[in-house]
Amino acid sequence: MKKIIVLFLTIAGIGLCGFSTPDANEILKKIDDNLSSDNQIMEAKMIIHGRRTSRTITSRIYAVGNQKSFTEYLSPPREQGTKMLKLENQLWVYSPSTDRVIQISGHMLRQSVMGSDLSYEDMMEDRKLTDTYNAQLIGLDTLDGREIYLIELEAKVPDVAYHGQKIWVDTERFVPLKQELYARGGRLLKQVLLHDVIRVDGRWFPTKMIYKDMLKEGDGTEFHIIDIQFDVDIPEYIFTRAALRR
Amino acid sequence: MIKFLIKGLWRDKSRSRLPVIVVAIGVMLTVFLHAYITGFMGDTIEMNASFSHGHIRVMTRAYAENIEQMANDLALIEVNTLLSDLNERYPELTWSPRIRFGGLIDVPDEYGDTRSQGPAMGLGLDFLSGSSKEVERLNIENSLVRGRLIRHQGEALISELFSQKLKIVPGDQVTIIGSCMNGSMIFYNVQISGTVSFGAEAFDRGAILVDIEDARLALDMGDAASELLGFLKTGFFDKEKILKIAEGFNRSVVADEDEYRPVMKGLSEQGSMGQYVVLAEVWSVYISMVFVFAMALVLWNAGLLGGLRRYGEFGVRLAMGEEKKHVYLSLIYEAIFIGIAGTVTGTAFGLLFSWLLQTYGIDISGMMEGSSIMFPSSIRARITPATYYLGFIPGLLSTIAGAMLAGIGIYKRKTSQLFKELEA
Amino acid sequence: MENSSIIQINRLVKSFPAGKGEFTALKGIDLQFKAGEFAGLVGPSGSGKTTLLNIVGSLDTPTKGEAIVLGKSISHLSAREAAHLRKHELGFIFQTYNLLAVHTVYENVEFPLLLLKLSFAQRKKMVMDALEWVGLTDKLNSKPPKLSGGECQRVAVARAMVKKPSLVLADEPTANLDAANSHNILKTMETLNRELNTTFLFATHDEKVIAYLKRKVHLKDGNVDQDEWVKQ
Repeated sequence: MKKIIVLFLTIAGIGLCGFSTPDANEILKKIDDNLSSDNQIMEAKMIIHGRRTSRTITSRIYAVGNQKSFTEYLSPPREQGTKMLKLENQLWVYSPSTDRVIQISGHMLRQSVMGSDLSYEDMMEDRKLTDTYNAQLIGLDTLDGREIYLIELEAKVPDVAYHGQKIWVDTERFVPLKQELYARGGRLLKQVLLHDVIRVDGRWFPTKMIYKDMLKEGDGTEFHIIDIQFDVDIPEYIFTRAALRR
Repeated sequence: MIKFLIKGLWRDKSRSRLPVIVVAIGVMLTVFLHAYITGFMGDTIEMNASFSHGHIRVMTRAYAENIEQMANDLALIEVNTLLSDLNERYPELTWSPRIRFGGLIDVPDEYGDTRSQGPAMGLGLDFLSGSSKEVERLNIENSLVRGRLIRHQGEALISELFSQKLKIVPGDQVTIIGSCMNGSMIFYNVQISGTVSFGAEAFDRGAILVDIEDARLALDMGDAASELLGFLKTGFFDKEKILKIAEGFNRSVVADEDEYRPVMKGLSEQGSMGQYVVLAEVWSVYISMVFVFAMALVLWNAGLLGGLRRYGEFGVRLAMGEEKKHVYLSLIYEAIFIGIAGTVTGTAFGLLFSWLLQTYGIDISGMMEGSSIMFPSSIRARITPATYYLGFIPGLLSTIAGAMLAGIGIYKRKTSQLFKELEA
Repeated sequence: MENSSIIQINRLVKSFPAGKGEFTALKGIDLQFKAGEFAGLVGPSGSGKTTLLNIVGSLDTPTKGEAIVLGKSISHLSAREAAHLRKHELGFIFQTYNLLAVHTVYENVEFPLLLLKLSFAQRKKMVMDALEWVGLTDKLNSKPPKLSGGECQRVAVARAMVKKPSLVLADEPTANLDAANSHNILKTMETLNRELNTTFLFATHDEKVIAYLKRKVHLKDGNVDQDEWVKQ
């Protein structure tokens, strides 16, 4: 306990002693460095707290850069075998019960994924923040005992799902601890809380995220990362439509 | 004296049988027209009841609050228990579970890729249990354009217009994409067994009908339903009765704070349908009143002429020493007698014809071909409590009013003048 | 009663509105009739005889002057009292008979008795008596349209006489009858006058009637022109 307080005071002290505050876009870049990778394999558990029931869905996700990703649902039985393939800005879903591969496009992208608080659009969007937003530092604060930068983001490209964001960024680890996502009119659409930050392969990474669709009733969706590996070899055939049916 | 008057009334055909026949015909027309209008207006209401509103609709409170969203995550669960409870409590109603869902119809090409796609309004109803009257209720058999009804699980009917847009024919397989009760995206394959046209724009633009068990399977809604539609076994919406049932039911569950507890809403409590019910009531009353008024004028006139024709007789009776008041009252009594006899006869015949039209109907589907408005395919009358008493307004009241007016002459004219008319 | 005055008429005036002004039908008549008379108001059309008969019959009221019938002033009778007078004391015979077509001979004659609320037995006896006077007991159940004009008028006489009124008023009773039937009916009335002592007052210009009258009051332009008594 003492150690933590000493550490905190030290960090705070450094901040007060004129340790130069980084530029907001620099912060954004550091976030990208932490969260984006060339490729990754992740096993995740999604707990959806609906209005009436809670459900748990597990999946394995393969991603290369920010252009390709492949998700396979492992449980529950109803969802098992459902696969999703994202190539650039296209998304296909394979449903084993119908043995159909269907492309999701247009307004369907805004639909909820498995009834969670995440939309397909949310899942599709993995461009780097620095590529899509301009940032501005608007304050320093603490959140759950961590020092944070509060930065405000405004879209610089037209095709983003959320026009604006507010991000509470850990000043030491450059990991977002809280995110608020806004519509063009300034309406709060979603809120994300990020917890359980761990160190993996030299990066800081949050392993528990709580998504809350503010327009939807229910208690949000928990997204737990059970296992994550960075920069592993992923066979190229995974990212083909043929792989969906396998 | 009364015997004397009755004898006179009975023997004088122009005083009894003719006015009774005139009154009876007038009353019969009034009664029949009222039943006819009520029936026609009612059929439009019934059609909407059959398709979407029921005579009464049971939903969860949360579903009812956002009824147009068709939010199946707010659907009723444990429906079988609820159904047996409702059947026990309301033996006068039959219940039809329905699942309404929004989604996409995706048509595959030969490689399984999307060939065409369109937004659909889905309706799951009981086609296959063998015990439901849904096919009959929605008049599906007569609405078939191509193919056949749903006979097996995994089959669907699609609206004709929609099938043309998607370029599909009976026998083709399509995938329904929607979201299940939990909100997950679902994919469900069905084979198109036939196409239907209901003549209702909203429905024909993009509807797909499946068996409710298919809908349950597809949408992960085992033992659940979007809503339960209740229909009075009489086949006709009865506003007062339905509102009483709804009120009673809602009172019995009001203590339950759960937003998923069931609530009942009568047809007339459901949005624009409520307004239509009011409109239909007002119009049927309005049209009936115009006719009642017209018939009243005719019968009043008949009563008046009948009275005037008898001034000579009145003159003699006055000369014999009968008091004016007595003559006047006897005229009124006669009118009452004629009015009652005519009204009872007319109402009986009116009810008979109304009953025939209510039971057998007149098929007008041929006339309605190509019509873009959702019309009932047959014209039916409808006997309501008002049908029984409405005829008394022209039949009894007008006849009496006519006699009273004619009788005023007895007072107004001097006795000797009545004699002059007598001598003339 | 025989010599008492049954009708007393004093300076009787009767005017009717006619166009903008008025027409005076009776211009101050003084007359008196005694019980049992068989008298007639005689004169051409428009002389005022029917008007006078209507006033005496309480079917109309005087404009000025007085008409006292059976001790009751016609001017002062309410509608109800007038009806009461007609019901109990007066009988009417009309030119056109005015029988109720749908009722039988018996019922037509019975009608005035129904108003008097007599028992069935009383009514039956009185009706049968009246029909016997006029000789129609064999036509009890016939209806007027099946009868001849003479028979109809005899029914009308029976109807007027059935309650044995004090006064019978007859307005042109023979106008629609042939000579034989006229004599027949007049003979009947004369007999009834004699046997029941009923006063008869006629309004007529028919010579056949005039020949039977015992007193002829000639009216001319609303005035009594001549009051002529026939020597017995």
